Amino acid sequence: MQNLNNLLKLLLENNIEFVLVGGFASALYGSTMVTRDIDVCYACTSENIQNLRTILKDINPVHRQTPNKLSFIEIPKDTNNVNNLYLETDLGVLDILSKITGVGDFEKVKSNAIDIKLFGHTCKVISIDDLINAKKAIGRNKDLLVVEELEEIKKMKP
Amino acid sequence: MTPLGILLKAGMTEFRPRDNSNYEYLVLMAKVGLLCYTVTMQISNIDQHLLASNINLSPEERLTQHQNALDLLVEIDKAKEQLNAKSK
Repeated sequence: MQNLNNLLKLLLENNIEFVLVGGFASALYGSTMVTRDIDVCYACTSENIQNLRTILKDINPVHRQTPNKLSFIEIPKDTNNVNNLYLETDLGVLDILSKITGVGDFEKVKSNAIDIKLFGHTCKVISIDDLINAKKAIGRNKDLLVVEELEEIKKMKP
Repeated sequence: MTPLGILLKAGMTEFRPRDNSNYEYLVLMAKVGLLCYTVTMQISNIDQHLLASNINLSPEERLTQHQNALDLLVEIDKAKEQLNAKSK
């Protein structure tokens, strides 16, 4: 059964260092748009990818954009030059991004991120300003609608 | 000040008549107000009420609400697939 909240919980419980970005971060800020995946910014080092494989192995992660949905547990064999991973798991779609368009790499995103308590853990979430910049940089209609909402949320917050 | 308020204030400053004809001034302001309201409603694609309601929730409650909405979308997708299969 797909459940993005349980997917996020799994990542948080295993203490991997990531920053929540994209539509799920927008929902966390109060956006009304529904997203079907979780996007995280993550330093895609070889060691981190191995950690991710260990954490995700029980929920059958596959590369959803490959024709035969190859297993993430086995592919790629060489993990030295990985930038992005577009995965599908039993709990839902998970995109791992090493850079965020309009913002920068993991360290840059992390430096502005805020901490939010979620499910008994601390979750790093992209700052609302970085999120707005990222959405503007992508510039699809649905992203620009989220920008409108995030701008309004900024005004509403005390 | 809301965008509508800013537009109204700008309108009052810009269109204040030179004579003291209160009636004409009020009619003009009503027109400017209506125009500003129409423009504001047309340029806004967002549901202010729903946003305000979301903001009052805790982060976990927001995610729970999001998951409920997603579950509903998945159900709708399944129903669409079933309908398509039947029509074939």
